[in-house]
Amino acid sequence: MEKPKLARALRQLDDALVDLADEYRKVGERHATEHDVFHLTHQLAAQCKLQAESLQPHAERYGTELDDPDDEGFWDSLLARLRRLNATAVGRSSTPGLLLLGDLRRLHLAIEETSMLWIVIGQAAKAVRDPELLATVERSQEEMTKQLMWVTTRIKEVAPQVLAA
Amino acid sequence: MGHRGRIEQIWGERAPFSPEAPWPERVDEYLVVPDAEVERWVQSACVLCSNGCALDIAVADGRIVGVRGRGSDRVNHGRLGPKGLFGWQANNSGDRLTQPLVRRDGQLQAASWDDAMTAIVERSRHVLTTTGPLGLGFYTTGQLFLEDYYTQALVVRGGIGTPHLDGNTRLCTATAAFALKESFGADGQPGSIEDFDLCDTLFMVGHNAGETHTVLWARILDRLHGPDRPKLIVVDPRQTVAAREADIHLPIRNGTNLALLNAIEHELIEHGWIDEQWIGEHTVGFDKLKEVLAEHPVERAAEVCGVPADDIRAAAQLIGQSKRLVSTCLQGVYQSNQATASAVQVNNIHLLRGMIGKPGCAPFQLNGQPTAQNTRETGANGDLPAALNWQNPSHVARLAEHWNLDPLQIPAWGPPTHVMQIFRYAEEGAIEFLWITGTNPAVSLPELHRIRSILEQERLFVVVSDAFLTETAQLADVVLPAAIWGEKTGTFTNHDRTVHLSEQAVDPPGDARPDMDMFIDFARRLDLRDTDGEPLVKWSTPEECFEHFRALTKGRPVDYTNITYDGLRGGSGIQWKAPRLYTDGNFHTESEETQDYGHDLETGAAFQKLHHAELHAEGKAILKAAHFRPGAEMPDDDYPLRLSTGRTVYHFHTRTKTARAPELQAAAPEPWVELSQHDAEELGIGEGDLVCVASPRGEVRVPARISNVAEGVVFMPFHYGYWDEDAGHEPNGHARAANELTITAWDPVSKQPLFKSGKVRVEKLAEARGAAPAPLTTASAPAEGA
Repeated sequence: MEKPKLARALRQLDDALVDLADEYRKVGERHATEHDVFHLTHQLAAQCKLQAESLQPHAERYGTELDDPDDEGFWDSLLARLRRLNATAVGRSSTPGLLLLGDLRRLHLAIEETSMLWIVIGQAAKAVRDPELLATVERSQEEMTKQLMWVTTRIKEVAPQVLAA
Repeated sequence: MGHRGRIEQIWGERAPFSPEAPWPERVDEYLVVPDAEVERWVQSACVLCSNGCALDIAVADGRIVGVRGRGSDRVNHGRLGPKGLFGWQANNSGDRLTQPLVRRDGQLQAASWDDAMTAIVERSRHVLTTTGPLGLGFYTTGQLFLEDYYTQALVVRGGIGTPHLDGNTRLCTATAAFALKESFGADGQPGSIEDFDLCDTLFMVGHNAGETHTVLWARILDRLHGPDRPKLIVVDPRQTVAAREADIHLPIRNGTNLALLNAIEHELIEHGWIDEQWIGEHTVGFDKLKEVLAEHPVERAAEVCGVPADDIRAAAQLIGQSKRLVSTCLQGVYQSNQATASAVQVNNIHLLRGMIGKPGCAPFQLNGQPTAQNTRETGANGDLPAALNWQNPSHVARLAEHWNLDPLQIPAWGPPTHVMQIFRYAEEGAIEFLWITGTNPAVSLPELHRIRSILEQERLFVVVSDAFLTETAQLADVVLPAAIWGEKTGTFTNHDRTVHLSEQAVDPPGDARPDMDMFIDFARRLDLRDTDGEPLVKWSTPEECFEHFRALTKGRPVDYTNITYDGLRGGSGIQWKAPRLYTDGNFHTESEETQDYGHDLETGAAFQKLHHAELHAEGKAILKAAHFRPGAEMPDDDYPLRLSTGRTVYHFHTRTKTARAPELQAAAPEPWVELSQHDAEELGIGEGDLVCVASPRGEVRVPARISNVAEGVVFMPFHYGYWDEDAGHEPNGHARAANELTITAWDPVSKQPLFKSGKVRVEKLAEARGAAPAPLTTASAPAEGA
């Protein structure tokens, strides 16, 4: 059952998820000295990657293929190391708090955007009466809600210390 | 039995009993003078484990000369464990701090109280003026009394107005508190210690009871050796004394509790070993839980945990067919991967079976110390006092009214800051003043080189109040000598909500003072006042302080209104509120009443009132689910083994007290590392060989004990630091503190550091010069044939 426009929306969501996973990892590495942020961003990056993989069978059914997410190449892994080293180097200065606040706010927007794309796909799944896709959407939406709540929780913790102290 | 005997015979002689009879009394006593020389006996209880055994302190010639268990007390029926019998000798130690010290020209030098407090107040004022309240942090302990903590909570949260106050209870019982809040809506142990007498099945998860709670274990042992023996299931990577007594021992890899517990719940549901009617009437979240558990069959857990599937099935069957189930959790859960999510599953097992609030039926989210429960209840760590919800404006208003402050003064814009975050703020310079009370982060926090480097910063002003010059105190700018147990009056609460009064028996040494008095003095000198311009702290005695706290708890889930000093004095321990909580199946989950709106167990995202209301819990318990996922740091080629740190029966925390009790110190004088026979053979390591244990954070050199620890797991006691070595506060050439190795990571919900995770490798350095200095009486006993 080919649905080119739905297929395109699935590709869009896939791209957004891959970008979001990447963003999570970068934020984590930039703030490697915030240990909870480092560990959780990598956990949530993996969650985004799994969400992207869960789209694959649906994409095939609607007549499209999703890009194979590349494994982290040499340059990526080198850059990741550099970001971590830089985080350690500036870990004793007072700027990382402000940077963290900014990064978390940008992350929040990226999660919102991805979350909205899931809503879009969910609406389409209802209209084409596709219970399998809908099940995938529901599970992922629940995860996106938690991701949004997490980033909100963390921003609320960071802001007072950065701005009021 | 001789006194030395109680080092060997940790639990004393057996007194088997059945559920129909009370646990027989046996009064344990240790005196260093003849009986006739004892001038008086003073009512108290032991502070060295969360059982909180009642005892009387013997006094002669103005000194403590011994202790005796209280036979009439509901908790211990007269018994004391080795730490309780011998640990008090630390009070009389010749190296107690007796006067304040102030750092001058790089050296800590004796000073008057006035000079020391002036230095503290000047620096606090400076930070308050230039940075504000968020520039000050306070890290307290689990070893003070309720009255000290409550005073500290008022002065720090109300007076100064900073959220940066946490207790070292974050390292041991934070997960207990969060698990109780997530499932039942509020802190407070549901059960009664008599439930151990009445149960027919006992499920112990990550709880090395024989070493951490010796008198509770003696009680359990007497049931296990009596008629109508309960079944015992033990989950522990080590062959603990409990594991040796167990019907089923599940030696899972550390970090896999959630996989196992999910599989057990999966089995309970699949076999119908659940009480569907009770679940329907008293819980929410069952459908979601079933959905998650469907993905966690026994076979998957067996693979993840490294134990046979049939053993998991057999354990689930014993739990599923029990009529009266008691479960316990301790550090094996709380300091391990997915801590809160796992502890909550133990609550779930009881909810699925309707086994809570009834005789012989209770989950115990145990604590480390009896005084730890009070940091939680008084708001000296991750909560506001009296189980008030920081996210609920009417709760904050109630606290503000009780303290006669403007509600805006109370920092309630976020959760109270946890210790790892406080140290992170200190690391980046956001916190410039840090007051550490009676605890020793330079040995007890993870990744010690980092902690030392934070405390050593010039720009951070560190105050330490303690009884001894600990590793941490050596790094301080001001050290205040503290009066401790036996030298001041106050109350504390054990793991079945039993409150004991501990009276002052002797004068503190030299100029040492109770911590409550230090905080009152600090508030007075800072001129902290309430909205009417009156002094902030309205009390000067412990009893006045207790009464102020007691009034605040009225009608709250943590309700002390049935307890008074008069009621405790001359009697013995009394449980707050009732023998058991939730006897009517009603929980503290009304949105307006609840202590916490809860969290997402996997990310730690905080729910808000709206999310909580959507659960429609309204008095029902909340079944919460989470998928297993591996820990943040898994073994690899470079570091192929899993590290677990923990306790031995003879020591408490960083040995500040127990190493000063000769019997206890002699029983476990030096650190060691435990390896399984299999791993030792692979590495060519024999008993007593000197080995290097290395992690990505650091390395230590200790002798190896070949024990019955699970394959692939390496165990180290965390008690040993450097104060009794040459360098004093840091490694002198070769490090030996387990926390040199541990990872800076914490549970997303409870924020408890994950000491039982992280990877290491072990290499042999030199041949043995004898057996490792590890006790032979406990989980560290040598493996057979090793």
